[in-house]
Amino acid sequence: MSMTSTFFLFLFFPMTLAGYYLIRKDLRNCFLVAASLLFYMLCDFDYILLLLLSILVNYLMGILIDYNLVLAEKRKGDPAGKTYQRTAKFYLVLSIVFNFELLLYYKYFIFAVDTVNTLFRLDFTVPVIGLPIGISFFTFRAVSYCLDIYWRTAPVQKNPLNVALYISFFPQVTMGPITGYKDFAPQLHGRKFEFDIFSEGMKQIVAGLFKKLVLADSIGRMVDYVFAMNHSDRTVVMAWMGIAGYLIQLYYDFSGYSDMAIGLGKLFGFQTPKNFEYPYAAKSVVDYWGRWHITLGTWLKGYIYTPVFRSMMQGKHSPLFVCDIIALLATWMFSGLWHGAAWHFVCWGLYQFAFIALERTIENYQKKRRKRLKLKKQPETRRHAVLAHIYLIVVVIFGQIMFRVNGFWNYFPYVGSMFGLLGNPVINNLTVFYWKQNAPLFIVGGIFCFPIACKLENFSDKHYTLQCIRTLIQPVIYAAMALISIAFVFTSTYQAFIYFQF
Amino acid sequence: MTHEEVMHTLQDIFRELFDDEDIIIKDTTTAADIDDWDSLMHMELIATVEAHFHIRFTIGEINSFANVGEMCDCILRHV
Repeated sequence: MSMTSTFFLFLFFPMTLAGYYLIRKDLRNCFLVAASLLFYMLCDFDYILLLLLSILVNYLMGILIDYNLVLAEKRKGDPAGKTYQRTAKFYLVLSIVFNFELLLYYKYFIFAVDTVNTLFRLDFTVPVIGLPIGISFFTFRAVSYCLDIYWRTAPVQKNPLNVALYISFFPQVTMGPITGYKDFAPQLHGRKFEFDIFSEGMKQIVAGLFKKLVLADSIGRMVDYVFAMNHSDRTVVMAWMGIAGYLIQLYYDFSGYSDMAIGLGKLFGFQTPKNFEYPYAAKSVVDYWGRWHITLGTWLKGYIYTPVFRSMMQGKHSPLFVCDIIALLATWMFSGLWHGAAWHFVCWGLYQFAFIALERTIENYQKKRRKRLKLKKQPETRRHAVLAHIYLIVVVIFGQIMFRVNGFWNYFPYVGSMFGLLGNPVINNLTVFYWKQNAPLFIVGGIFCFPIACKLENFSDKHYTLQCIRTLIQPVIYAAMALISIAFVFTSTYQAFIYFQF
Repeated sequence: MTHEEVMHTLQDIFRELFDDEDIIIKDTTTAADIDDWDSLMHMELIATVEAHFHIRFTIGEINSFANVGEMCDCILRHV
């Protein structure tokens, strides 16, 4: 079941919402757990036991970690205290091993066997293992739960239902956003209905549906066609249209889903950090990753980058810049593999790392130079901003081709077709036909990838008349978006969310 | 040490580190308020603060600082 399916939109979602507000307040978390487990069962019945196992093991590990930390605190200063501290660390490591073991087995085992067979020309049977939906997301939430207890940044949950709600909360279990446990824990109790937040949530759901069904899926058909073509049959213009369309599709697909997940959370009183902040408006790769899939970035920073950086700093007196580069390398290798068990995802991670490391090196050099020459940092000029933006878009284009092509060996032929290196024509009638068919999507989709709506809103805030017009028009726009989206729900052929595969 | 004293010392550290004599920090100051405050600068700030106050933050503490005020409170718990 997808969040854009008729079953979800017209049955599961309204019934869950009605049930949630009709039931006694103290039973609401319990109700949400039941709804979340039912949602997961409807998505992927085969792996519901795996999700339950993950909840149970992490709940027990949390209790054991907390129990030993409390005793260590009480016996601080004596040898028994240190033993309890070590025992808590042991349970933390055990929980991390368990969580990543699940991920390794279900996501990477086939990849590992395949790689060994290719590298050493062996013939091990490649096992048939299905990929449980949302395993990458609920595993990260589970790891966050145990680490936050160990680091004392959030309290342990004595009630297993609360752990179950955190790990399996239905708007977020399949594709995130990956809310850290320390941010989710305070919201487990005392949530209140607030009309403003509720209506904000509704608007986000409508916007998310529109982004996914009307923009992403419509342009996605053209993208699928272009990427499935023979490399030599693809015209140069078609190749550029394919990747430009893919950037628009990927953004609206994932940010649309995120809007829906965040909006749904708000209807149940949960505040979720935003996941997108106009990433294509960034002016560097570092900036881009601070705007794209923000919750994954926050998770990686808190649970991979910072611990690796700290362990590099300990006792070895390595320069901070070196610690930073090594921590970034570890983070991006991890991020690449997290996105998919294939070599082109590893290369994609290294590609992002290379540009981030380059930007860091240049920035570090400039900072030292300014300090040496006692110069002030100059404000950014318009020309610099434009050049920086072009650089970012070029890096994103050639990075996302790696993300989209089916297998590492298709990357270079696709890039070749973009420059006519395969003897492919520049343009033909089919290209013109596809351009005419998709031009409105390119224009509208392309424009709203940038913070135009935001700027218009800010501008209208300053003028009373515009503010009144906006207040009148906004409900009409959202109603129209909802109606168009509903029409698409019934008429369009189903296309899964891109991040579903991760 | 008082909260104000720690904030005063932190202000000097920030000015030196970010190479900006005009920086004025408040309890509510976050990374979004100061140019160049990225993850590397954050770790550099942590290392400088630790060396200055002769303390050591845990990873959990580093991850939980929401603003300068929280960092200041954490320093006071350590010293």
